Amino acid sequence: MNQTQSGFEVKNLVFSYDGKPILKDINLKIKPGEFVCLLGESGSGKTTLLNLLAGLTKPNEGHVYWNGKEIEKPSAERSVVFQDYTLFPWLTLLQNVSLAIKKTKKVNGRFAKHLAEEYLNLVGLSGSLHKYPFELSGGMRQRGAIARALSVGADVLLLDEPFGALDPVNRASLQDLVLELCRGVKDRPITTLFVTHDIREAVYLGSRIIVLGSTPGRIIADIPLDFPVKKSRTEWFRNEKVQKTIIEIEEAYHKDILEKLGHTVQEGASI
Amino acid sequence: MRIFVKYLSKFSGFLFLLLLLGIWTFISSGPEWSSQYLFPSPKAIVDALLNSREELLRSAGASLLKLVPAYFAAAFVGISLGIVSGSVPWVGNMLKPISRFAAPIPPNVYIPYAIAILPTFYLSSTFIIFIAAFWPIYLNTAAGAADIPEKYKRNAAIIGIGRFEYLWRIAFVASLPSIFSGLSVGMGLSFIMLTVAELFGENTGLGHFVQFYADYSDYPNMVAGILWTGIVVLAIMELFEFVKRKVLFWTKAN
Repeated sequence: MNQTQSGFEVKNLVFSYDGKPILKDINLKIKPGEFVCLLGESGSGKTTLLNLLAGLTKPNEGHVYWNGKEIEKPSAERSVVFQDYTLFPWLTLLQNVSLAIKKTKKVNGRFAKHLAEEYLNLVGLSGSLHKYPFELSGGMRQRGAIARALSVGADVLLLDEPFGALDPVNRASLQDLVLELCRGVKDRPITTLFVTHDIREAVYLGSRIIVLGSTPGRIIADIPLDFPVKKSRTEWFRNEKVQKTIIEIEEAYHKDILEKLGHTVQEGASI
Repeated sequence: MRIFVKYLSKFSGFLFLLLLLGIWTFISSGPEWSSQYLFPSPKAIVDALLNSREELLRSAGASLLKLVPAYFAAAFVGISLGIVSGSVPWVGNMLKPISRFAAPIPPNVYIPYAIAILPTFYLSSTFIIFIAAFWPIYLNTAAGAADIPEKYKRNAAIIGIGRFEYLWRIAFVASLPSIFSGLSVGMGLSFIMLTVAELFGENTGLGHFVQFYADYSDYPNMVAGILWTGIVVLAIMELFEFVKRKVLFWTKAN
């Protein structure tokens, strides 16, 4: 693998906000095409790490590289889908996606519109091209946001709890969509970082899981996944290997929480 | 009974107007304690409205000729400056002391000085209206632009919207709800200042019409002038609300 396709590299990263440490000593490599799920409880710095990879925030110490180049600002190479709906509410779905294409690919309006239509078809929104975000359900808005993120030709998709506000049915169908779009494309592998606090979601989606412990956020587990092909969701979750992994992650999670509680109790006891 | 109450509630506004009209008719019909001279009857007012219709229309036209340019100039300068000062911290900090000091000054205190330094009454009036409309528009726009949700900023950055384009494509549109609040307050204040300026210094316009007939104790025409001013203001405010609803359609579910 040459220098230009080395994926993400995070070196000795430290980030604090208002003097409060958020992330500490993060060292991480993500290969191109990997689907990494970032797990952690609230306040573990998951979103901060995603923002650092996106270039929306800069580290206090350490470095973040994408394909060997230090990340200094956001780029169309790395698209982001946020939980709080990413579309501009004053533009229709089609206008939202074609604006992103126009800005990033520097193409004319007609071509951008045509491409936008294709991407919206891909996520199953062909019937809602001219609808405004307020006319759409939460699931449809996130489909639109995913279409926009992919339409700019990004090599990286950073998703920050994108389905956190959705009902279970919509959530499941969007999970499958993301899998299909990010892991299903052989000729154009998309590197994906998916932030969630739902262990089952992470295990279902990821090819690798990174668990962050909190206060300050640090990597407490890095688990590569190698599971059978997903045919039926229910059956898949019954698979012994899958269940074992879920328990393993839960244990890592709880160990961190218990250790911290023990630490606090000890501190309290010594007073 | 329930249906009666339902209709009463639905048409209560209209019925209350009828009641007021009844009271007015009674007062103007000449009970001993009232003066028919000072309280002309509704019929006398309608006659005055009809007889003076050309003059009333001319006055409304003259008022709008002062109001519209001054208001639109205030809107243009206020919105442009507000967007920049709300989006660029150093510009906002630079303008903060002056706006905190100057915005609360009631615009009418500028009238004598405006008359002294500007060559015509027309320019003085438009200047006063400009000042009255400018501050609320500027302050609301700046507050709106400074308070744009983080998600819009992040989205703009992700899709590569540059700093200058951000001002008009994102900051301006996302601030529209605040801009319209400012435009609405500015509109009310500029109407007040328009009529104040016309009552004192002008020889045209709605304020002048009212003052002119008051000077001649022609109260039917004077009251007709007041009513006509109300109608003109109401029509403009309704038009404003219509435009606002059309432009801000996207705020429905946010």
